[in-house]
Amino acid sequence: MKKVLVACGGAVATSTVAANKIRALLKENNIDADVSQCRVSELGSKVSGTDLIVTTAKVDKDYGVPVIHGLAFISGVGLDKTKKEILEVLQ
Amino acid sequence: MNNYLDKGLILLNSSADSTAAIFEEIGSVMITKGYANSEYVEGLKAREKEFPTGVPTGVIGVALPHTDASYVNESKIGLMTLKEPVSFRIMGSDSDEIEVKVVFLLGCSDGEEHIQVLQKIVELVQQQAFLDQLLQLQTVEEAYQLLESNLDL
Repeated sequence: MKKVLVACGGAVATSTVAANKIRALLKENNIDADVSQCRVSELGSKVSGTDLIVTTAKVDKDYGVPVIHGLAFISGVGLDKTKKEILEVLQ
Repeated sequence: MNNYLDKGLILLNSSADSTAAIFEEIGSVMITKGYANSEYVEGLKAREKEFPTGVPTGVIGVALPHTDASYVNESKIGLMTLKEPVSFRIMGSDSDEIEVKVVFLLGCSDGEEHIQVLQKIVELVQQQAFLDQLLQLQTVEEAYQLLESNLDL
């Protein structure tokens, strides 16, 4: 079971939108993963055991985990590329 | 179910030329109508500074400004189209900017509701045809009808 953290800045809104789309993507590709959400400020305490961080806000710190920018889930631009990057990390 | 809309919050071809001017123009309507508290405009500015909301959608830039739900008394969605594009920082970026022509104000008094509204708006702004329609809008009445028929909330 892979673990994905989806983080956004203020509330949990953009991360919820992105997380729903990521869950659908992983399901389509038969990847068993736990997709959860948090604020960027909570990453430090939640990152343990995580395989991938997807974020719609700015992440400066290196958590030793790949970070993919999830703006495409909001804008629709470059979505195929972002999906491919996510699958490459998790497959 | 379109009590999210108010014709007073549809501002077409605004000459606002900065993010501050945009937030003041549309935010003051939220305050005057009692939909948000008196700190709302400052809340929009502060939030945008910390977590920018510019979204590149391909042809035009869209911004989705909002505040914490605690500023809002009654949930509303505002629409503003701009005569001249205004630079917004891109969501998740410190320095990258996008020229924005369309602003959707997400004024929600509840976090769950905000997520639903955002999800709906995100679906819409990913449709090029919808954005083209937005840019053609001439009257508030037209805009209201377009939003009413597309915002199935």
